[in-house]
Amino acid sequence: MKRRSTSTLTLVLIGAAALQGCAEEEKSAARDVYRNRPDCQKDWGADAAKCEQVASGPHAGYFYGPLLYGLAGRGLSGASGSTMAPRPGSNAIGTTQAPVSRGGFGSSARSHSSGG
Amino acid sequence: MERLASPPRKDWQAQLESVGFHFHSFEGAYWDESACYRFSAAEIDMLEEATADLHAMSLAAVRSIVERRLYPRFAIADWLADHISESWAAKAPSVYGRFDLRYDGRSAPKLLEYNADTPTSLIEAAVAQWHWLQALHPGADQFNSIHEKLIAAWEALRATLPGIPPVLHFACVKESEEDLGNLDYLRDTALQAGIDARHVYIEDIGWSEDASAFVDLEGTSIRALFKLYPWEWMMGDAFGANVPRARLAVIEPPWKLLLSCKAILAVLWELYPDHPNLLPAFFEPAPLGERYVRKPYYSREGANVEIHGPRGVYAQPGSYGAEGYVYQAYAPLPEFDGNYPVIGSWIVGGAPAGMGIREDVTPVTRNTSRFVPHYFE
Repeated sequence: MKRRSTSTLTLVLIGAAALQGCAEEEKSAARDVYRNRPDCQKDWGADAAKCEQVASGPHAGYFYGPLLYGLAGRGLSGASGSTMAPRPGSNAIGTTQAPVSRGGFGSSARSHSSGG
Repeated sequence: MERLASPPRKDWQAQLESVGFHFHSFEGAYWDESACYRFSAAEIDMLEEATADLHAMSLAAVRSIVERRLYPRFAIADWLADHISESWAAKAPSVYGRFDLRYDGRSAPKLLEYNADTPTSLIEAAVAQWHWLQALHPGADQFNSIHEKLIAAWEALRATLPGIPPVLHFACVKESEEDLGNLDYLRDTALQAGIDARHVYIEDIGWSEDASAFVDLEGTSIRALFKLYPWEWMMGDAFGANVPRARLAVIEPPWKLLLSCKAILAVLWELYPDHPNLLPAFFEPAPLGERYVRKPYYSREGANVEIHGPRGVYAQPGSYGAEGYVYQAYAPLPEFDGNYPVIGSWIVGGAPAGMGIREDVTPVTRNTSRFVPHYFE
């Protein structure tokens, strides 16, 4: 008769050490702006997720690198969407404050479990 | 199928916590190993076969709904209807689902509903009752290969994910220990399949209008998302309509919404009348006479279910039902020592994978219904 239960069961993430969620504080973010994808990939490598073409707004048609944090103390300031000088050593044409809105998911949860 | 008294392990709470199952005493008593269910191999064969048949019928039903564009019947917004059609045409992959079955060990299992989008009770079924089996019935078997089938399903999915290694974000709501426990278990199995499985709470997901992309708290673009958050809730959220714009790959995919909506019960009966694993179901009560069960399209945890039975109307409170109702033939759950069990039969990677049993002292299975382990010989 074939057995229908798992023969061995290994867990690598959960277990006695309770897992903590990634509940980090929100931080202000910036993104490097590139004229084209090759320039972006010179800085960030070939991972397609790290260089995105901008679909709309003042940088439409350009490429954004990944979101960057902790640049506020390096002279980066300005209104959301405005472009500042590129960071030294970067192939970008500038750096911009990245407008990211949050909280657009979760309002339907009504304090219920999402499971069924 | 019989219900047996079973002495709990002395340190059962610590045993459960050691495998990541921390919400075992949710609402006072959730995991209950003071009893168990014993099955014969022939009964498990029957449940496994019914699960495979229901899965095949469900896929055929989705195809029929998409071809006929029956979306208004499911109260689905236009933007999501198109997204569903596209996801079905693209064969967007599914990982798992759970059929809830009425089964008494004598007659054929009957489908009560299909938790196709955000099924939970997963770590209980896959891990907790497996360890219980090893401790108390090491020579017996259990209908439970969920763990290895999950890892295999993720391995099959890897090639569809972006990034090297493939990246998949896992999201659930804050403030639900149960959801986080289930999600972390899924993430564990995805990691074992070589996926960079990252956690983000659904409330923390950001939207970059410029990039038309969702981002996590690190600012990394979210290209593929496993969400333990129902599609019908996403439909009503401010970011919902951004999902197609972001070209976001979502698991479970949009087409699974059709199966998690209880309107699917009427469509299945229309397509497969008199199938032994289905109960008659309609969009109006008249064909069923005076005895039926009214189920809101999108209710969860038994909320707003009304049983119109021989003793009158038994109604569960709740806030669901605005989208519509389906009417299913009255088929009372079997009673074992004053308890009413429902079989939760898992489909993982397209194959029957195992089961968990929830039982209640009322005829409606609710969020607080207890999980009772099983074995077969």
